[in-house]
Amino acid sequence: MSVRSLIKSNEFFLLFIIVLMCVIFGIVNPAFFSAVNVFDVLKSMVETGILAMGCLVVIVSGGLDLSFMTVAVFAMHTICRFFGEYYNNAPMLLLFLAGALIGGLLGIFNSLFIAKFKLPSFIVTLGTSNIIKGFLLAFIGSKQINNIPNAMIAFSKNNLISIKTNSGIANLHTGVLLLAAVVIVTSLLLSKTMLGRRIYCIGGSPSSSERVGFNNIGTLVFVYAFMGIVAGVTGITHASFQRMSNPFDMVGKELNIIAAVTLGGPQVGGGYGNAGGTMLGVLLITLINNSLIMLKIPTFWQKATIGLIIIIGTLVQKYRYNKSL
Amino acid sequence: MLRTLKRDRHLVRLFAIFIVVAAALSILRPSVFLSAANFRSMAVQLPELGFLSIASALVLISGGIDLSITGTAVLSGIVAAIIMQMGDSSVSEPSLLVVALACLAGLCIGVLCGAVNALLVAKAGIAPMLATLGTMNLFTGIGIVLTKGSALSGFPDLFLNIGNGLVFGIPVPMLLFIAAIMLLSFFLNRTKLGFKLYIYGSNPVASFFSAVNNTQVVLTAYLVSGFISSVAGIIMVSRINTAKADFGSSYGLQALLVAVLGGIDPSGGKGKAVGIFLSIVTLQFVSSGFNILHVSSFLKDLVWGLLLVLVMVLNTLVPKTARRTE
Repeated sequence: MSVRSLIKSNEFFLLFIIVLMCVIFGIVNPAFFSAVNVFDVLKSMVETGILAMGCLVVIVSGGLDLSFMTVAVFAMHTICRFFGEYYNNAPMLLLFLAGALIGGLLGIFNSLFIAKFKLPSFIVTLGTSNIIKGFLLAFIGSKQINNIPNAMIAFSKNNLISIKTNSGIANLHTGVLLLAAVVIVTSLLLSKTMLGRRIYCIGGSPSSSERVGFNNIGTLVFVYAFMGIVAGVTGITHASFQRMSNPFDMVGKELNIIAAVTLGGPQVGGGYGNAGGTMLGVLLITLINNSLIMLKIPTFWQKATIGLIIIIGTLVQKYRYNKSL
Repeated sequence: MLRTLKRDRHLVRLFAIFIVVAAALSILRPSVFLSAANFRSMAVQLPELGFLSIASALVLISGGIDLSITGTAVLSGIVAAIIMQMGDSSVSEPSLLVVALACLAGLCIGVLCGAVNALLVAKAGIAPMLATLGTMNLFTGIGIVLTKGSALSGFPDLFLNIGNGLVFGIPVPMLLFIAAIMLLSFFLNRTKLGFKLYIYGSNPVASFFSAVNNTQVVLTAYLVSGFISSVAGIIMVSRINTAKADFGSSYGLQALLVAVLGGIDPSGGKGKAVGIFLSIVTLQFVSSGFNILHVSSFLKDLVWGLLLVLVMVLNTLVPKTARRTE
């Protein structure tokens, strides 16, 4: 019970920090609260948030997937290349499904080593990310593709709300609906289904989970397939937002997403975490990334600031966890 | 007994892969691959990643992980570069003192970075992955701030000799690297602290109750890792005559790959120095070999990943059969 209340208070604490930051940012630069900026932040959260949901499920299961970025890029570039060349008028839904399929298959490939051979997920996904990246760049293409399917370009202009403001037109992109859907699905999966309980169980103690009679292998395959599907969808979204497909994009940002997930949940290893906390972590990281520019902090301070935030954030969380013991 | 065999088996497998790669390359392009020029070029490229792999391996054996080695390396290089450029303005050819001071400062930065990591992991008890993730961003970020994002270049010849000089025809970095491997092997096998590192890495609780000073072990692992990373950083700057904050950012995970391929168990407690040496040499052969064969460098990534996964799968599969024959 005490750990659950810790988790609950962890979220309130994050929320408090976020509100505090918003207030400070707002004071320094009132444009922070403008519709343009708010919608901008929300749009930035779409990719990070969707990927974070996949990472959350993996981390809850006690593992760590380092290859999700390469899976996303693989799905993105492959779909853009083949649909761009042969089936340029494919509907967006088909593109998303195809991306999800590719991502899911790659995720199952990952899970083979982790579930069947019981190799440590961290190292295996390090290896598979190299394999996937190498395969993509060597055999599918290493050049930027500008001729992406029309549906993607149309999607990038698809806005939910359009408000005319003094500083310009504020557009709330439809992508946030996609993000909301993924968040809701993940949240329900983890909290309301037996599969979700199995994932928590494996994360907490794999041996106990086996003895209780759960199918560890099946569950882990699902976990990594889910991560793959989510990554594939993100890849398609990214290409749509950028209006092109660059196979060198996105790689390098994995660690920021993992930071967002772990900031948003208690760092006790596997077996803990929920969608709400993770989204708060994503919001925090996105706010920091977006707002440094608003605060007129030069871009070259960004990396150092993110590093400091991660360190301070984990220190504070650890302090509160120790206090609660 | 079986455990030693298993560890040996990994090294044996690794050695077999090394022989296969070396033989294949020697047969395919004997004139280019087996030339002195090729060996010299490999001996220049290898040590940077090699030093980072040693740093990575030390921390891995202790059961932790250090993602910030590239940050430390880059920051050390940048600090050394700044000091040399400060002293440059007055004299046309800066003295040995300035260069030595710059290198010393770089190494101190490395130790300092290691200390920050050690404090966070040992004293504050933060998970090593998170702590070093934060410090990686922090150190690289400080490097970016110091250089304002641009590259510093133009260093005294004396300094450039570190990365590019030859002693008896062997590049200096390679000599340094071989010395480092031998020191590492001595440290791990013949010193008390090295032994304690293995014990702590295998089981921190048991080592605590065995009167091992856990804090000292963790401190050592991260401090030395930081120091070695800074050596790598200084060599990097010296070799390409430039100090840039985002250089070698992919080295972090590659170093991990080299270490694990070399037999370092990521959960801690196992690994030998000679494994690291074999691993980096093999991977360098693959890298240079692909260059010579005009194979896409992207395929190099694929092969590296494949080798890692293959070796890990073999490690899991083979003990099962060994047990059956007993």
